Amino acid sequence: MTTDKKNTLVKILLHLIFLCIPTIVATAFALKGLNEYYTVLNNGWFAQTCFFFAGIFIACILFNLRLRFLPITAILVVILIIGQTIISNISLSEFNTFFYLVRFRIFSTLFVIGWICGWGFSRLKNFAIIFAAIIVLIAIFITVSESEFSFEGILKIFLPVILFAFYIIYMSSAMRNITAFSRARFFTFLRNLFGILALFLLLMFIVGLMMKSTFTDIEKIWDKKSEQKESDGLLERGSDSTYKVKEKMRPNPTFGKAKDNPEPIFVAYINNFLDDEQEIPNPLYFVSDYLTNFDSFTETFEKDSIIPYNDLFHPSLSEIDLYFSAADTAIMNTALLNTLTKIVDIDVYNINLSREEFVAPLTSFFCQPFVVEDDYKAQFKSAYRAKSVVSDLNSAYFVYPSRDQMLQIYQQMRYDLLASVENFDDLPEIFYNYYTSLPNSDFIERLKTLTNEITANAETPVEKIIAIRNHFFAVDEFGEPSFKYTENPGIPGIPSASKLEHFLFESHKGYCAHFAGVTLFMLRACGIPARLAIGFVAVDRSDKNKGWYWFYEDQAHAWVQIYFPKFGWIDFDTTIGNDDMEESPQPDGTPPMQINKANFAGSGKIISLDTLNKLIDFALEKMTLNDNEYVFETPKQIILDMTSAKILRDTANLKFSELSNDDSGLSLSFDENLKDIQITPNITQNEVLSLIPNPIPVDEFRVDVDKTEHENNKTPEPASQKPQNTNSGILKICLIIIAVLLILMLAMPYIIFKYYKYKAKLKSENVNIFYVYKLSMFLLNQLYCERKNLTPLQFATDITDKKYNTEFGKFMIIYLQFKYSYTEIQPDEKEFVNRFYGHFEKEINENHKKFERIKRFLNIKQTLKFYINNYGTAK
Amino acid sequence: MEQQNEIIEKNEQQSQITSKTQLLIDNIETVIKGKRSKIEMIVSVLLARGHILLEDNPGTGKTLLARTLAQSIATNNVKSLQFKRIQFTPDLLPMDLIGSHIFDDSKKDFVFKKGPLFCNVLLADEINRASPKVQSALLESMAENQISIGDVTYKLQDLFFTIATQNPIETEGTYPLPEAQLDRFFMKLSLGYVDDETEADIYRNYLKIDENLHAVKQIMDLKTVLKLQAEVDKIYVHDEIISSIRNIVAGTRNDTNILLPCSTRSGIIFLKCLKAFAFVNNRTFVIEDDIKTLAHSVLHHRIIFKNNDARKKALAHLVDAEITRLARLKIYQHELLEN
Repeated sequence: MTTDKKNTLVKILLHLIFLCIPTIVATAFALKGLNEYYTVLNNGWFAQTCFFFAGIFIACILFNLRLRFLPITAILVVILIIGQTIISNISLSEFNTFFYLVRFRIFSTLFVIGWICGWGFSRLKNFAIIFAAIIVLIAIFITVSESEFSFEGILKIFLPVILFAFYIIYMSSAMRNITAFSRARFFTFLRNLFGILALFLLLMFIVGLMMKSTFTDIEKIWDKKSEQKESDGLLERGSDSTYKVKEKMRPNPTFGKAKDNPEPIFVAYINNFLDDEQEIPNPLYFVSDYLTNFDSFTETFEKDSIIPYNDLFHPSLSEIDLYFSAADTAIMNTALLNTLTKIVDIDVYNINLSREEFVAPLTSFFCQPFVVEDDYKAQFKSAYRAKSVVSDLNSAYFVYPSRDQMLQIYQQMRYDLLASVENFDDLPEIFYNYYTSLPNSDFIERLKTLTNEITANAETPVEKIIAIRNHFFAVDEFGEPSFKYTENPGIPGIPSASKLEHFLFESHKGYCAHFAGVTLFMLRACGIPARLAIGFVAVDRSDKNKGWYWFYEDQAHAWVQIYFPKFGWIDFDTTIGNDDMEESPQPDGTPPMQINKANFAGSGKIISLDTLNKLIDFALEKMTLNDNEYVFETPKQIILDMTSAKILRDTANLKFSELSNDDSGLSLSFDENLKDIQITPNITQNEVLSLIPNPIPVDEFRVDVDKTEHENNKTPEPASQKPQNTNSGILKICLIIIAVLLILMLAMPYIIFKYYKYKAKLKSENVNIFYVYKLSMFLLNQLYCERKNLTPLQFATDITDKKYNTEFGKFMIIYLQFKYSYTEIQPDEKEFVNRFYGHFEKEINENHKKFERIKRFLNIKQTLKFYINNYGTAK
Repeated sequence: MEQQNEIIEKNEQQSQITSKTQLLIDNIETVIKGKRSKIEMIVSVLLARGHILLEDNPGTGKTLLARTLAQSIATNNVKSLQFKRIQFTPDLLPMDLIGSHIFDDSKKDFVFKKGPLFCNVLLADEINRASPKVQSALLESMAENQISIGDVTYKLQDLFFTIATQNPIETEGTYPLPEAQLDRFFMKLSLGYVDDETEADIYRNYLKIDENLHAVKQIMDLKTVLKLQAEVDKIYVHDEIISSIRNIVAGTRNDTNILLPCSTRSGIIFLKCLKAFAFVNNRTFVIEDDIKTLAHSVLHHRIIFKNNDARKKALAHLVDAEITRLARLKIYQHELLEN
């Protein structure tokens, strides 16, 4: 009885030391990590670890005392339920109750997890395996969902996890075998443990070394494929490696830094100049989206589903047919601007932008995709025209002090105009409230105080804005700027603290999301309506091609727009210049200066062909004429003059004779004469048709690719692409690892065989006899000739020699003499040993066909059997 | 060079000696067919200075084997090794074995007339048919190589080798041997039936059995046997073999299915047998095969098992474990030499 008690105690102690404590340490690390990402946990990893510890500790002791699981766990559940009801019934304020309830739930969850772990460790036979499997699965899940894919990252997650899983499995199986405590056994146990751990690390290291190059290759592929796909930056990359602007943004410890990718995302021409001679270009920020919703828990700026006075024009480009347009003139009203406006034409030549993505300066209302000229087809994937109602006051030069005198004048003029705005009283209430609302938090209170300090001397909104801008642009007494742009601002000391607060009050280092986010709140704190926009910064870099702008990946940006009554939304940027951005490559390539403006575009069906005169009888279904769009309910018949037309199907040139009836297509005309057609607003469709010449000269005819053919081509594509872009990297690695392991596994017997052979060939004193023995035994074993329970001598004489006609028995006697006696091996015996193996292998090979030998050598099970039979611990 | 010569010489001597044992075995095999391994074991016991008990059904050749062996090393000739045979019966008295005091008329005194025990090779046929009293009379002679009558102790010959045969206990008219006496026998062997071919051969040549028996020559004298016995003592036993012996013997003590486990003496006897067996097999060292071959014969009859199942398996388990252990051992001779 006493020994029983002692053993139980020892068992509990061992469980606590070797299973529970490592699990707790691992949990502590995991919780610490989780606390950084989930605000719900409220930064209490230590307390949470204690909860877990309590669960595992109590369960471990109770269940080692052979108590029953169900009744005790039932008691625990009852206690937890009672605890929860008590807490929810305490009549404190509603918030506090909720708060305590959340805490209690965290406690009970962790406690129960610990409890189950403790129970499993002490009672369940295969719990460790399940436990380890769950951990590894979680690790795989995390790795897959991880955005950045790097060798180090994977190693960082996987090495500890696998090590831990391995340790737990090994340890729990070792624990089960301990029935009574003895010092000697304990030391053997420790020695084995450390030996195996060391071996494991070594193995991982070797695998790591061998795989490193493969890993880095895949890393590169991965990077190219889905770089920034889920990254912290503002762009995300689609499966076809094009860019999209994200629909949410949060200030993060690191910014998805632009990789060395000198290729622009798109090139745009903005027909916006400060002077009439088109000498001084006035760049405009390209808006993709407005992030008007702020989630203060995760500090994420998101797109709001309902925006009052929404002036966002965001058509899906891929849904608009070439030369047809999408327009939303209602935006001009919701944009709430009425003076000093002009309509600006923008031409965007897409290189790497997603085909659906539409970006244009504030406030766009029109979009028309067009065909890139042949000469530039290699350079640009697609192109579209856009029109924006632009305030004269809007300019990317709003904030940056300029050396150019013209610009200075412009800025001053603008300042004067804006200074006339004194209040926002006339604005609709919904609008004003929406764009000045602030979240409630300590940080906002702090920010308000700071804003009041900064804008103490300012009266008009513009003065306040300038004061806020100056706050970010201020330099300290050493001439060092107090705020710095960095893509890696780091995390605040307290993990779940507000990153914006950390940026504004402590580090003063951040990237656009930090600057814009903080500026937004400061402006709103002053009562100035503001919103956050994301898109691209236009940087005027070129002296040659005025009005042309190149947009690179690192120009993806977030900034603030401020609303001024009458003048509308104005872009406002407080982000400190990024050195990297200024060093962006100089524009390369030449833009297509001549823009293909189709004055006429009509889609429809060919009714009949006149090959002689190259005329087509065409049923017109849809038409644009000088940017006006007409859809005909019943197709109208017109005649196309194809004498100078280029006929295209997809990208291939066709001859006129290759056209056939019922082909549908799009006819384009760039005829300058068409421009002169005056279209009055209330003209009917039929009247328009009568205005265009008949036959109409066509410059280009694009035959629609057959619909069914199109679908056939399209359907398999997503299927093959989808897995590739999501998990292909991980999958590839897994496959490679599995393949390598498989090959290694299959080759293992042969490698071992070769090793023994090498060892046996060493003519060192006496040792080789041992390896000759080993080698022979291994060879026989691998060819399914096992020793089983026989003694080696019996095996040699009774089995091997009879089966293969070898001299193994004679050798065995020498080996046994070597093994069991002091008598020296005679020279003739030595000679026999040295030539024994050659004959031996030959004899054996004669008995087994080559194919059979290879097949048997691939059987790793046989090898394992060999080692279990020869090295396992005897019962 | 000289060293090498010495070694070669030594080897030659060695081979001469071992060839003698081989000769002896061959000699016995001329009469007893198909039992070479048993003969080897019996010769091992002889060389280990022990005694052997053959147990089997009547007619399996026990007595024939014993006689052939005896004849090969001893004769009735007074000058040479003496061979005596006693047929044990229920009415046999101890006196019939050890001898008795007889009144000598001429000397007017009692004179001790030596019984058949005073010989070199004793064949005690059907030993379990005699009463326990007679059986115990054998005890001292076998154990101590001496006989005490009254206050006089008579020393037996230097070479005293008993071959006892017995019928299985279950057969009628038998007295089971006491444990102490069983313990004196180095081995208990069961000859068993020969294989079909050999048996047919025996039937074909049954006429020759007697002829062969009479033709068996004495090929060893006392001196040779003593010399061989001395050679056996020189056989090298590795420490691991010794620990294996210990493990097996100690193992019987830990087995709950065993009522009477092996004694230390059994271990010593086992060791002696192993050495002798190795010698008979032309080796100068003991290997695990020896243990496997001999363990049952040497140890099994000393153990009292609780049940039949244990009787069949207990010892075999212990031996198998040890064989496995030894086979897995990785001993480098050179390490030992260097040390």
